[in-house]
Amino acid sequence: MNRGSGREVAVRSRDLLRVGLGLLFLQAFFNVERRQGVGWAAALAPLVRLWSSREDRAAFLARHAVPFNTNPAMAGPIAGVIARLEERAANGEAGMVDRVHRMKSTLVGPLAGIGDAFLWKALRAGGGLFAAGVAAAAGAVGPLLFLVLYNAGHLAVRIGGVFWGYRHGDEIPRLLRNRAILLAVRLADPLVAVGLAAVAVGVLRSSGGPAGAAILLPAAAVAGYFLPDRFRGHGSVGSIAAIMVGLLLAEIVP
Amino acid sequence: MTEGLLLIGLAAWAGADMTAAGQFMISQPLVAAWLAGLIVGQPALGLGVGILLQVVWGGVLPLGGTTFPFSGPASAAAGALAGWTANGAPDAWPIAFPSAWDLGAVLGAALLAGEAGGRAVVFLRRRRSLAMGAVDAAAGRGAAAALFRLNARGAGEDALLGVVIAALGVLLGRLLLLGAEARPALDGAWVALAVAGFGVGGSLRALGASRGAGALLAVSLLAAAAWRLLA
Repeated sequence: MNRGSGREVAVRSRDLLRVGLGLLFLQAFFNVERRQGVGWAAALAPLVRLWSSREDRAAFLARHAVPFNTNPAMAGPIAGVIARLEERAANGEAGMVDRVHRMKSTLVGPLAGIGDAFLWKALRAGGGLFAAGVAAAAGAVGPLLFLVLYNAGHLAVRIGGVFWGYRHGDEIPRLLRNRAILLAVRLADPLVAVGLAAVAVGVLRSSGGPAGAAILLPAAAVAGYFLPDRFRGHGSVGSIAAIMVGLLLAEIVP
Repeated sequence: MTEGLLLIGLAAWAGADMTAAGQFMISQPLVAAWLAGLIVGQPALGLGVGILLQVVWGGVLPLGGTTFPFSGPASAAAGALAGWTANGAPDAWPIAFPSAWDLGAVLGAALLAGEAGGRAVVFLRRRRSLAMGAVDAAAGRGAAAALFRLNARGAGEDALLGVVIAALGVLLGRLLLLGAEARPALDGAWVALAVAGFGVGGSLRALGASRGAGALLAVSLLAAAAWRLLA
């Protein structure tokens, strides 16, 4: 633990930025055994300078190249908290290495839940569907709007979250019970519904064809909702069946 | 030549963006298909198929490392194929759909290629587990550079897979479009509405939206369909 070195070490802003940029490759070597573990250890590598001896540096990498799995964007705040704890460990504070392990296990689950609901479900799925609806009415504005809005939220959490996590350190578990965060999670469902409605209305408006064809969309939506999961195949299998129904109707309806 | 290189670059970027590098959502079907359409000079047709694939695949989230279709490169293939069906006709605004059989061929090829890509990702992730001995050895030496190299390898594999899947999509699409050439040019609206409707219902279920959200959606759908019928 840098004993006898007589120097205080500190994480610099540029270290945190490098960690944040490294987290953009968190899942580059995603695998069945360690999940995001390799990317996680590589992202934290800029912090290895906190340790002076070769043994300590090896121990640092070894304790992070273990199984790790959370929502990829939410790895930002976790990395910030871990940076703070590693800094304290490197400065000789007792019990900090154990605390690094405990804090990681404490944070990955709750933060994955928040990230999956807010970033994946609301921003990615709901936002993507809403943008598709906008695209049906206004063309390229749809995908551009989606890229800007999603990445504003995504990068704020994945890179900005590293600085936030470092600043708040131990307080993070308490901050996760913040009302604004809980509200953001609860907004996911309504945002998905608005996105789906927007794209359905957009396709209905722009698809042309005979007026009677309009009834096909709600009818297919009911079929899509109630189709048993084993026939679904990520939506691909059912969609191929929908293509065939559409082709049949195009052939037989004047 | 330039068009081909740009499409290969887009497929590689979309493949890496799926999970390995950045996740800026270039790989979302709406974006990838639009960009491919833009490259071949038909952004409106690219957007049309992108919207439909977004509805079908938008609800599939990679939660907890689950399997998912390799949708980005497959959508890029669909956007390019849709653009090529225009045969140099002027671009429409804001979106357009190919004729029914062409649209069916393009979407079918993308869906099949995307599913094939999803299975290839599972294979890659299993194979990478074999390298964990090297990971432990590198960490034991304190060699962070070895971890960076593994990361670069993983991102490269995903980018290459993106190119392969997009090429598979284009090949399948070309074959299906050959069959579609023999069919009469029918209105693509039927296929578009069937796929969009199925996708809306499937996404609502996949995303586990609440009853209130489902009710809001049902009312919107019926109102929009009624408006279209009356108009």
